[in-house]
Amino acid sequence: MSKVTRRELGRLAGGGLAAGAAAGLFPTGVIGQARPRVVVIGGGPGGGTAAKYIAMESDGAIDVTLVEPQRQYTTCFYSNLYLGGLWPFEGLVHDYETMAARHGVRVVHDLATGVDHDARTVRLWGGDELSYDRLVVAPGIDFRWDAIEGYGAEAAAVMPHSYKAGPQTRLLKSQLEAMEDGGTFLLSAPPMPYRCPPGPYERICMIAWYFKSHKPNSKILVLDSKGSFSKQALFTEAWNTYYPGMIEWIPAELGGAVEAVDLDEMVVVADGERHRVDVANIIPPQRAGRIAEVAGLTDETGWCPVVPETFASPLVDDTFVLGDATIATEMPKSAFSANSQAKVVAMTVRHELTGSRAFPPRFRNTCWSSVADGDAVKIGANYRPTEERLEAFEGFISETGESGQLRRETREEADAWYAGITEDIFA
Amino acid sequence: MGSVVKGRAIGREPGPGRQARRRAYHASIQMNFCTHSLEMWLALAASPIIIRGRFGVSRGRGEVHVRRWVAMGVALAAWPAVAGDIEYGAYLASDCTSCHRPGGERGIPPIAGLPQGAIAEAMRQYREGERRNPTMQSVARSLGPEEIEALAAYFASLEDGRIDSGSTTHAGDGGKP
Repeated sequence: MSKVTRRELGRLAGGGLAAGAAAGLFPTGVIGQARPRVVVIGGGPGGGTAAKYIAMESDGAIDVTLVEPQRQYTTCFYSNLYLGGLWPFEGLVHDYETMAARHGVRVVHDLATGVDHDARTVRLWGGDELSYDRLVVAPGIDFRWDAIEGYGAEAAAVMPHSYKAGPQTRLLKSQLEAMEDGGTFLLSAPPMPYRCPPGPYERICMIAWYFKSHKPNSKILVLDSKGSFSKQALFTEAWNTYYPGMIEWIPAELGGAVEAVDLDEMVVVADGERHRVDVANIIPPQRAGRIAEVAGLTDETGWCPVVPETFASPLVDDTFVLGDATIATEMPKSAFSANSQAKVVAMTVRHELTGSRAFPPRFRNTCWSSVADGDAVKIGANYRPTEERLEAFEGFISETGESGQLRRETREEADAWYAGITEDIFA
Repeated sequence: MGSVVKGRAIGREPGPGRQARRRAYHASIQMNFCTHSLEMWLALAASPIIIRGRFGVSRGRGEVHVRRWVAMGVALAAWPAVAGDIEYGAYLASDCTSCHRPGGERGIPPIAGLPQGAIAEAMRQYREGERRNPTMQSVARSLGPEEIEALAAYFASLEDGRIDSGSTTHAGDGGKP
């Protein structure tokens, strides 16, 4: 049986390149240039995957530069398990060295501060400029610091958001550890759309798990800017089963929408009512990462519209946007979604720059949530592009009342997924 | 996700250049399929029996389907590695590698290096609900016969990652790899 490696496939694609160039099949005129250049802004699940796959699959035919300020990336996914004491912090941290060494991605640890679409260059904080033939922007989210009175960027040092993982995650964990038994922890859940729809509710489970074993008299108050949430039946079941009497959830229509905070008094104000608490986790309303707006990729919603089939920007030529920053309805903002979108973008970029074969886009998401130690649930779907959106099909969700054995297996599956996707992104 | 603002840019319509590029992109996809089918026809011209496959590309509200007739020889039975579009399989496989990895561990089995027939049969069982893991049922139901064949051919072609497939199972599959 003949064995074909990815490298050989790359060469096969290269052969197709010559034939295709002769036949004049390519949509863009980059043939003849030494090596087409791709710049990827953002080294999270979307940008990391895109950079790796473009470099890996083109086997050196495309010059790929990844711009990411941080030398190490801390995943937001699974950071709730760290808060619950079920996952080590070090287990969340990944670097870019393997991606650079194994696939030839040039990783520039700098901040992208601007894009000149006419000159096709990216400006960096350090002063350098990077030229590109195709630009991939995956900046993740930023917070709307003006949405909650008193909750500017500096307020996160007192009431952490912990919704970009790293020091903020550790801060919340240390505050929970310092809190006395019998204290009140408040979580403010944001309005849609936001990163990881089940994230706040998994976090509640994980913090409740920590309280149950360390501070069993403590309370959790959830102020929600929505009236319902992802996997609600599953989370509610878990709250009642594992943590009876500990958690109070207040939806928007019953006074859950947070309007203001008072850092000195440790007070959170919602619908005129002042809630005095011991630890507050404010997850603010969100928008696309800053560079997306600077680069002209956002619309009036603060998010980036995309062409559903390719995740190309309809606003700017030769530019793709990925992951949490996009409006990809009905695809949720998740690491899995970003990773899936990145592979379609990688395929499309290679096709446009080297004439490699184009295939129909495929989009998927699966999202696991831990509700207690050894008990996880999941939701997932495939997505197909239509003119206006990505439409879910063949979706599934865990059921309430599932056996403990199945839930344990689902948690094992989630752990294996974490290992799989982080390797898929960073290695 | 009801509150997500739907649709494309509001107030800033894509220019004519953008529309042209999108049209060119779709045209090139179709061209690609056609030329590839031709290659396969030539390569397999000597095959005694031709069976047909179908490939749908959904685009836009109107669900315009691009269909291609793919020639696949019965060489299939005699030389299993020949059947299945490995390059297409490599692309499809990037869906799988979000979770499955060589070496593997508890929870999600490794699949690289599995025999082609085993992968195709497992996917059929997920499609039919004979295997119960809902994630894999969802994946399998998004794939047509040609895609499954391509995937199976690709994974079977991988040299590394051959693991005892009985060592790990999917959640809910009752011990099946």
